[in-house]
Amino acid sequence: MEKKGLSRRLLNRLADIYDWLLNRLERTILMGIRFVLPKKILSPHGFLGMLTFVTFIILGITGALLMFYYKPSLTSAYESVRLINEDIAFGMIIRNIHYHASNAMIFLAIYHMFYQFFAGRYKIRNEVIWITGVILGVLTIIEAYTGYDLIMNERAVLAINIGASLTSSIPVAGQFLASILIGSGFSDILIHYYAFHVFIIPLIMLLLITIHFPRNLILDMPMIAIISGAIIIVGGITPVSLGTKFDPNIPPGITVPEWYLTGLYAFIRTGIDKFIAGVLLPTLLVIIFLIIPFIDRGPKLSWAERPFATGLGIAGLGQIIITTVWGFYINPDPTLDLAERLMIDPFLFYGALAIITAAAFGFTYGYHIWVLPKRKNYSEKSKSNIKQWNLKIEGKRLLLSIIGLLGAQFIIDIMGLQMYMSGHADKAMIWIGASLIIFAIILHIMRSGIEDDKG
Amino acid sequence: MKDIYFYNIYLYHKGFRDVKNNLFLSVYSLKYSFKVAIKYSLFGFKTGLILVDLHESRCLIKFRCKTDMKISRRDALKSLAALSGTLALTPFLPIGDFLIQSTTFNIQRQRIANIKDIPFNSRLIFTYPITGNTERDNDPFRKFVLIRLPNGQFKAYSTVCLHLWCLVDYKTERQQIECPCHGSIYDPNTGIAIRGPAALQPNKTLPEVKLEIDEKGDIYANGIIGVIGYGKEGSK
Repeated sequence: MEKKGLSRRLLNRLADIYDWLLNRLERTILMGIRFVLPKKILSPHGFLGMLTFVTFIILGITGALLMFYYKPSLTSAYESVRLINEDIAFGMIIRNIHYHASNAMIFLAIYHMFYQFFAGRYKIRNEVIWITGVILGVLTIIEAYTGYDLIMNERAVLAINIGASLTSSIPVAGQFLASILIGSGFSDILIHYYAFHVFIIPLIMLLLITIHFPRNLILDMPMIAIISGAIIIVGGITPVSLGTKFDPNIPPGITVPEWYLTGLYAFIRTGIDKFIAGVLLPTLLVIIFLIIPFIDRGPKLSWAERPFATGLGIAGLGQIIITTVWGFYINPDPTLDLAERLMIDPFLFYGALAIITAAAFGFTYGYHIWVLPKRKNYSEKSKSNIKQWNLKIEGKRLLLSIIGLLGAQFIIDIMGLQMYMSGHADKAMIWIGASLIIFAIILHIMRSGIEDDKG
Repeated sequence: MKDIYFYNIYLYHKGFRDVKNNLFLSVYSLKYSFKVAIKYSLFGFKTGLILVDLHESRCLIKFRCKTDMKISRRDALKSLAALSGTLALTPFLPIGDFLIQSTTFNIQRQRIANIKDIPFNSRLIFTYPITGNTERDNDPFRKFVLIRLPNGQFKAYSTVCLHLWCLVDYKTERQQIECPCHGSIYDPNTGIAIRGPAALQPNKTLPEVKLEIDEKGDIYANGIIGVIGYGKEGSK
């Protein structure tokens, strides 16, 4: 009896401290944001932005750790990355997570943007949120680009050169901007990119994120754990490599950029002017996304009732996919002339882009004119925009399943640890990620159990 | 009260609290509980008025405020302070000098190799001008390719492609200079781009190193013709 009293008193004390803290936090800016902890499984489409932000946080943490060992210098950068990858304990895992989180962030950001685009979310007073989001997306890609340039492998050096060259090709301001980047030579470019990568761009992104955040933030802990777990598992399956070390005395061979830049690479390879291909066309794409809220001003939100915007979105998505995939393709026949192997036939390339654009607009207008009027109950259907599923597990089974999962998690952790100890840090990541996924499932069972108690 | 702008708009009492909480808007005058004018200010300067219907919770009309033509004492003080602020920032104008650190290529006579070391139809990558600083000397912009053509002649070009500054190399099997990024092909005899994107640009000639060969067969570099990294003139 006495024990129970003590524990209750202790709990009350804790609750008092919690209340006290919450009262004081009300004075801070934190309370301006309303965190929503969903009680059921939600479709992640509604909070892809939050998931993107989570990857940003993961990148911040792992990136800060990488700074302990990375040396931004032309002669020792590659060696320091190799040290992180091969010699430093847990270094492989940290760098692997950093790399795959960057890919995940770009993918999630693009996915987030297109979902919001087709859902017409840039309307309803969201214009500022939309515009900051598009700028954030561009900064994310620039951030990733400056990141993979720091490794100083062959791909990094060529990417740095191309970036500096494209900057210099901008009319009027280009020369000035390029000389800021280049400084007194390549070693300066590297340290400038480093400053951009670890401080300047993340700082701007953080500032923009504070504007971009809506008042209500969906903090779906299980989904956050799943995303983190998935990043780590993918890291375990396809571990990041070091690439070929850049030797200034051996000019590199054919090198394809990272997947988010192969689209640009394809445009450049069609032989048109480098400024048009590398700067103007991508800028145009960004500008179209920036101004779409001011073009598509109607009250309709559903994609089917906004044929122009939807056509534009599908065309944009199709063009991004086509150019990205095409950029990867290089004629494998080594007997052919290099110019011929790398050249992309402009008629075929721009023809494909024109066809996808026409098809996108044809499809959406066709749907709008012929199909939509026949679907009378359409507007009723589209009312609830966030889908909910209820995965219910009943009373007794609930506790049992948690215990079972904890057991599995324990075994998985042991497996991961054993794998790590035996020097296979990359394979250990599959287990580390699996453990996180089980944590996500347990979190979900917990919340559904709490819901049951309330009901 | 002469500085206060006042317009009659309808504002529902229910939403009135939200206005005060909003950082950007400040309520200036309240005739009676339902009508309110809100001054919109940017960086402390009066820029306009936003009429807000908080019941609908959106802006109704936006227009510039009518200012009194007479400069008030308050405005005069503000503009003096703004002038002082400008003067305080003026000394920072040459900040651009901090951002740009320009390169100087000291043209020097430098031995590269001996004729005997380089067989016909082969190449050697060399650094020019050598500074003794490893960071500087590893700079791809300071790398050149010395080519011994099949006819025995020597040529030396910059390895920085004219197109997008990737690094070119002499390929012995095809006897041409190739860029691995976008497929620009150069003629090793002249350094002129013959195919690929570089051939479509206005400047098609790779920067060339002036070579001198002495009686012992030592090859010397002495000066560069052209600019390394086409379009990089600004930072030469």
